[in-house]
Amino acid sequence: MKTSGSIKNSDEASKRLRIISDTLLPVIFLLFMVLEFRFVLLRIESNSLFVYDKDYLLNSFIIPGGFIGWTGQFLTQFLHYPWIGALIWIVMAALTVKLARMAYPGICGTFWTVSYIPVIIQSIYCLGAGYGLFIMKSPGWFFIPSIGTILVLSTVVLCRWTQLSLFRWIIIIVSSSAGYFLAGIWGPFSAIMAAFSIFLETKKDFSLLIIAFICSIGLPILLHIFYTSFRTDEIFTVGLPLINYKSQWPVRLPCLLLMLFMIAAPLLKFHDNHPETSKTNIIQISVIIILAAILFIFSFRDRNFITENAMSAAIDVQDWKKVTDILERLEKKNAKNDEKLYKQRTKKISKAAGTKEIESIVDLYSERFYEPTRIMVLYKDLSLFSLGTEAENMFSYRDGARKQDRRYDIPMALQAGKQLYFYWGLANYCHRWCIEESVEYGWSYNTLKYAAMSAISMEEWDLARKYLNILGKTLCHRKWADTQLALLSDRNKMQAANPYKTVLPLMCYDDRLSNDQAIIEPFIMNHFTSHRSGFATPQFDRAAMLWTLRTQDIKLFWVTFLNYLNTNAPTVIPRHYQEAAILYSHLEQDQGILSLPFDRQIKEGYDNFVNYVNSHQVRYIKESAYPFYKRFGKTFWFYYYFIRGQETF
Amino acid sequence: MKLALKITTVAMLLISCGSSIPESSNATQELPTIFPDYSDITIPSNIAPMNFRILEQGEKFLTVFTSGNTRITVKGDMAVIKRKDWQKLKSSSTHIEVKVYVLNNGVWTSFKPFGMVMSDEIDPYISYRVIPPSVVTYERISINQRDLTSFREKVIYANSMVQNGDNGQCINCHHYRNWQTDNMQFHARQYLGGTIMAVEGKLRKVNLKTDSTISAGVYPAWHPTHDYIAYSTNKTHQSIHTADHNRIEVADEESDLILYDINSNSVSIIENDSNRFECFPSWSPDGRTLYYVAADYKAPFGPEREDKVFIDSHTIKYDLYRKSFNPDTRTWGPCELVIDAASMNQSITLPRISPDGRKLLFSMGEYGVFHIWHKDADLYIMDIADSTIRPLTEINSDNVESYHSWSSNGKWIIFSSRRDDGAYTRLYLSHMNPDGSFSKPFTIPQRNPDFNKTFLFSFNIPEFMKEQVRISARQFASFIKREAQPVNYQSKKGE
Repeated sequence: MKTSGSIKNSDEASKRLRIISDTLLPVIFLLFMVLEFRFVLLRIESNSLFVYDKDYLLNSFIIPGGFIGWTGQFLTQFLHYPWIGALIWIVMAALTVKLARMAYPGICGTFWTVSYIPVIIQSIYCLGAGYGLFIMKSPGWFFIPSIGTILVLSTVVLCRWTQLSLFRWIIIIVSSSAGYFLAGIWGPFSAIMAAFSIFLETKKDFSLLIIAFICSIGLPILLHIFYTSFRTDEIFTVGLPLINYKSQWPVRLPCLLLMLFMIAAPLLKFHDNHPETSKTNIIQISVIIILAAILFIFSFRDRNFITENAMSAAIDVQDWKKVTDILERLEKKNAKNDEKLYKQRTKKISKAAGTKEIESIVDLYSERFYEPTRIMVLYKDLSLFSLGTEAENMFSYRDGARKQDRRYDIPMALQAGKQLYFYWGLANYCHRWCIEESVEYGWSYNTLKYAAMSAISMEEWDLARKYLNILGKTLCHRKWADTQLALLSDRNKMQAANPYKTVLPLMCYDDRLSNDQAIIEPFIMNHFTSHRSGFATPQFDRAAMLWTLRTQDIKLFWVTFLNYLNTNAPTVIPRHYQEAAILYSHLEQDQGILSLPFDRQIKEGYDNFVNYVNSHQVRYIKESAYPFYKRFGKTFWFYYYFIRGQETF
Repeated sequence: MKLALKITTVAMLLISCGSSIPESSNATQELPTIFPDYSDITIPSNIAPMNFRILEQGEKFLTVFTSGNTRITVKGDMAVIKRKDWQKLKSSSTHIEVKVYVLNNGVWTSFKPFGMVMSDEIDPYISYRVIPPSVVTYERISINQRDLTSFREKVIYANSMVQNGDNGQCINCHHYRNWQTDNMQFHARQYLGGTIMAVEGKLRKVNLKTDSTISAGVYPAWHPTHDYIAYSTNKTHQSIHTADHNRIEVADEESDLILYDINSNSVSIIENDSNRFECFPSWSPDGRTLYYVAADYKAPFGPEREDKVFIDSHTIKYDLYRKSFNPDTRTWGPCELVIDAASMNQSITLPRISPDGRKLLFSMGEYGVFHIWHKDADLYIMDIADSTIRPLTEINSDNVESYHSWSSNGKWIIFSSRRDDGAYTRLYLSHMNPDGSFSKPFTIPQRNPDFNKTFLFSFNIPEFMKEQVRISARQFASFIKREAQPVNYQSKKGE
C-alpha cells in the first residue's frame, strides 16, 4: 500500500524525468542532426527552392496540398544554415510532442514517452531518406510530415478545446474542404481525427463523425475535377510526399505510420492509478532508449553518402582544397580499420583450406575495405585539376567505384551531372541537365545557379539574367545572384572571375552533336580524349591528360602526352605523367622515351615496383591490392594494374 | 455650353482616375525602357490590358494612358491597368497614348510618349503547348488555351492527369479544323498513346500507325472542307550540341506523308519516297492544294543511319513543294517544287497559307526542319500569285522565329520566338497591314508583366481559335485511358 507522500514523491520523480527528457533530447537531437547530417541538410536545401514572389505562391495552388509543399519549401530554405534549419525542425518536433500530449492526454499525457513516437517517425523519414533525396518530387518534402502532423494534432486540440458544437462543425467542414485545398489529404484526415477524438471522448456527436467522413471523402472527389495537375487515383494521396521510384512506400510509410499513431492514440488509455512509478519511469526510460536505437538504426549515416554531399557542397562554392581535405580525412579515418581488416584477412587466409575458401574470404573482405564511390573519385579529380595538382596527386587518393548504398536507381547525371559538366567546360550539357532535373523535380537553387553559370560562360546574358533574377528573389542566394549579375554583359570581367577563369579555357572545342545517354563519365572521358580541336588550350590538354590516364590506353597516352608537351611546355614533367610514360615505354619495350628528363626517384620507384611484382605472386588482384597499395598505392602503376574496369553509372 | 461640358468631363475623369500628373517635369525625347516592349505597336481592338513594367531607374513611377478624352494614370513601376479602365481607353479612341514619368532626386522626367494603335479584332482564343525546353524528360507538358481578351488560361489537357513515374506521356500537335474546336486533335505518345480527336464534338482515339507506314501521324493538317487529315509520319532523333548555341538538334531519319480519312478510318500514302524526307503538310484554304516541305537524302537504312543523319544534318535542306488534290475523288496531282530553298543554301519548314489563300508564311533557316532550335531561323512570306518571297525583317530577330499561324480573318499572325532570352520561346503577335507589311511584333499581354521573365517553360505551336475548347480536361483524361482504335491502310496511292 502506497502512502500519499510516496505517491507525491513518485509523481515528482516522474515529472522531473519528463522535464529532463524534454529538455535534453532536443539538444541531443539537434547536435546529432547538425553534426552528422550537416551536409545532407545543405544538399536538401540546395535541391529546394523558395521564391519570394506572389506568382510562386499562386502556382503552389495548382495541386491540392500545394500550400503544404510551399510552406515546406519556405522552411527548407533555412537549412542553408543547418543549425537554424535543424532548430526549426526541432521546434516543430517539440510542438508535435506538446500537441500530442494535449490531443491525447489519455496516453501521451501520462505515458509521455509515447508522444515521442511521431517525432521519431518524422526523423526517420527525414534522416533516413539517404539517396532518396535526389528523387523526391514533392517540394518541401523534408517538412511535409511535420507540418501535416501539426495540422492534424492542432485540429484535434482545437476541437477538444471548444465546447461549442457549431464551432466544431465549422472546424470539421473547413478542415476537410479548405484543408484539402491547402494541405491535401492532411486536411480531411485532420477533420476525421478531430471528430473521432470527440466521439471517443464524449460517446456522442456521432453525426459529427459522419459529417467528417462525408466531407472528407466527398469534397476531394468534388474538388478534383477543378484540377489538372494530378491523376484521379491520387485524390486521397495528394499532400503526401512523392518519390520518383517504382514504389511510394519509402516516403509514404512514415506518413502512414504517423496517421496510424494518430488513429491509435485516442483509442489507447493508460490507466494510471498511481502504479509503481519507479517501474513506470524505468519503462519510460526504456522507451526512450528503444526509440533512440530505432532512430540510430534507420537514419542513413553512410560515410560515402555524407562525404559525397560534403564534397559536393565544397564544389558548389569552388572550395577545391576543402574537397580534397574532406577525402583525405575520410581516408585517414579508414586507414586504421583497413589495416585491422588486412591483418584479420591474412590470418583467415592462412587458416583457409583450398582456393575456394580463400576466394570467398578475399571477396568478403574486399567489400569491407574502404573504397570511394565513383562520384567521390570524379569530384576529387575535378578538384585536383582545378587546383592544378592533378598530375602530381590524382593517384594519391584511394580509387575505385564502391557501389552506393542505395536502393534507388539514380544516374550520376542527376547527382553530379550539372557540376561535372560545368566545371569540365561542357556548359551546354550542364544546362541540359539543369533543365531535365527541373522537369522531374522542379527548379532548385542549385539548378538555377548552374543554369545561370552555364549561360554566363556561353555569354548568353539574357538567359543568365532570367535565372539570376529568380535567385535574386530568394533569401539565401540573392547575394550570389548579385555577384553574378555584375558580370553580365562584361566579357572581360566575367573571364577574370571565378569560376569562369578556370572553366572558359576548357571550352575550346569544335561543336559536335552527341548524346551522353545519361552516363556522364565515359562521355566526358571521350570528349577530352577524342575531340581535341586545333585551338586546344594548355588547360584542355591538361584535362585530356587526366582523362587519358583514366583510360589506361597506351596509344592514346602518347598522342595526348605529345599535345600536352606542346601546349604546356613544362619545365618538369609531372610525377604521374612520368610514371605512366615509364610504365608504357616498358610495356611497349620502347626505351627511346626514357631519354626524357625523368626523375631518378620515379625511375627507381618503378624498378622497386617491378621487383616487388616479381617477388610477390599475385594470386587474386583483390587479395594483393591492399599490400601493393600500402607500398605503391599513390602511383599510376598501382592504378594501372589494380584499378580496372570501374563501373560507372 | 459644349466646351464647358467637355472641360467638366475631362476634369471629372482626371479626378476619378487617381494620381495626378506631375506639374513640372524634364522632358526627354527617349522612349522609356519597358518590358515587354509595347511601344508604338498595333494591337487588336479586343486584346487584354497591355500591362508592362518600367525598367528605368527611379524612386517613383507614373504611367499616363490617354485615349480620346479618357485618361488613366497608374502609379508604380508596374503599369498594370484595370480591365474596366482598359475598356474605357479602348472605347474612347483607336489610339492610346502612353506617357511614362519617373521621379529621381525629386525631379520628374517625362519620357517620349508612345502609342498603341487599335486595329482589327483577333480570334478571342489561342492554344499552345506549355513545355520545358528539355531533351528527354517531358513530365510537365500541357496544352493550354488562353483567352486573348482577358488573362484567363485553362488547361485543355495535361499529361500529369494520367501519367505516373513509370509511364511517361508526351502530348503534342494540337490542331483545329478552320479555327473551330469541335473538330480538333492532339497526340499522346508512349503511355496510353494515340491520336485523340474530336470530330463534330465527339471524341475518338485512333492509332494511326500501320505496318505500312513509318509511324503514327505526326504533324497534322485538317482538310478545310472534307473529312481528311494529312499527316507527316516521322522517325526522328534528337541530339545535343556540345558547344553550339542552338543546343539541340532534331532531325528526320525517315519521313513521309499520309492522308487519314476520318469517315472510313483509313490511311493512305501521299508521299513516301525513301530518298526524300517529306514533312509539315499544310492545306490551301480551298483544300485543293497541299503544301509541304521535303529534302532529298540518300543513306542506307540500318543502324548507322541515325549517326549518319546527324553527321549530315547541316547539309539537309528542305524545299517547299505542293501537290494538287481533288477532295471529292481523293486523287493527287504530281508534286511541284514551289521554292528551291536548297539552291539558296536554306531550308524551309512550316508552310502556312493565309485564310484568303494569297500569302504563304514559312520559317527558313540554314538547314534542317526543326527550326525551333535554330537561331538563324526567320519568318518569310511568299506571295502565292507571283511566287515572290521576302523575309519579314520587320518581325524577325537574331534569334529563333518559328511555329507561326494565321488568325481566322487573316489580319494577325502569331509566332513563337526565342528573342527574349535565347532559350524559352514566347508568343508574339503581329498585324498584317493593308500593304502586306507587318506591324512591330509584341508578346501576348500577361496579368503580371514579369511573367515572361520568370516563367521557366516554353510556349510552342500557337494556334488561333474562334472559340474555346469545350471538352473538359477530365473528359480528355478519361478518354485517353481507352484503347486506341486501329486504322485501315489503303495501299493505293492516289495519283
